[in-house]
Amino acid sequence: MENNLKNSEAHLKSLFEKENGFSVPKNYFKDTKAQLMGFLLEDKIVKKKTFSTPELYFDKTINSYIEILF
Amino acid sequence: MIEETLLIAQLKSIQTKEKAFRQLIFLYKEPLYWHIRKIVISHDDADDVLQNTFIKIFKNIDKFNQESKLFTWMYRIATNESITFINKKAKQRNINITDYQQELVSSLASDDFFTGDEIQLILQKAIAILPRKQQLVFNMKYFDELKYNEMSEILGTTVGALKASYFHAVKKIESYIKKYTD
Repeated sequence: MENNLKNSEAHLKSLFEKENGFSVPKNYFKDTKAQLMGFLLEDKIVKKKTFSTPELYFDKTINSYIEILF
Repeated sequence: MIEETLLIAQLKSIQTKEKAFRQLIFLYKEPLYWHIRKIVISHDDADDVLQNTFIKIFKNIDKFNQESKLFTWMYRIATNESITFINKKAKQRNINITDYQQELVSSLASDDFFTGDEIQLILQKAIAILPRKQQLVFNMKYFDELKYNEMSEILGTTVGALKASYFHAVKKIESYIKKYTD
C-alpha cells in the first residue's frame, strides 16, 4: 500500500512538479513577515517588565503557603 | 534542578510532601505569578490567585497522571484560576468581562506596581480589548515565549488555531497602537 502511495505521489509530482496552482502577490511573504517582525522587534522595548511587586514579595511566599497547607 | 519524575513522586509521598512542595513553590512561584498577573493585572489579585493556584495544585497532585509535563499542568491550573477570578469579579460588579478588564487597565497609570511608560500602558489597553483566547495566546507567546505545542497542551487548542489567534492578536494590537500614537 505504501509503495502504491509513493508511486502515486511520484506520478503526481511528475505531472505537477508539486505545484498547487496557487500564487501570491510579489514579495507577499517577505512583506508580511517584515511587517510583523518590525512590530515585534520594535516592541522589544515594550517587552520589558512593566509590572512590579512589593519588596521581598517572592521571598515571603514559600513560608506563608507552607503554613497554610501543612 | 531536581528531576521532574522524582519531584512528582516526592510530592505524592506523605513523608516527603512538605519538602517537595517547598521546592515546587521555590521553582515555580515566579513564572506562575507573572502569568497570573498579566491576566488579573493587580498585584493583590495576582497574590490571591497564586495562593489559590498552589492550594489547588496541592490538593490535586495525587491525581496528576503525568500525561503532560508538571509545569504545563500547573500553568493550566493558574490560567483557569485567573479566568475564574476575573469572571467572578466582573459578575460581582455586574459588568461584562471586557469592561471589567478595561477598568483594571485604566487604573494602571496610578498603580504603584506598574512601572511601564505611556506606550506600555497603551499596549496593556490594546491587550485588554482582545477576545479572551487572543489575550491569553498573545501574553503566553509574546511575553512568556512559550512554544505553540506547550500552549496547545495548556489551552486545549490546536497549534493551527493558536497561530491564527496570535496573528490576529498582533494585528489588532498593532492597529490599536498606531491609532493612539499617530
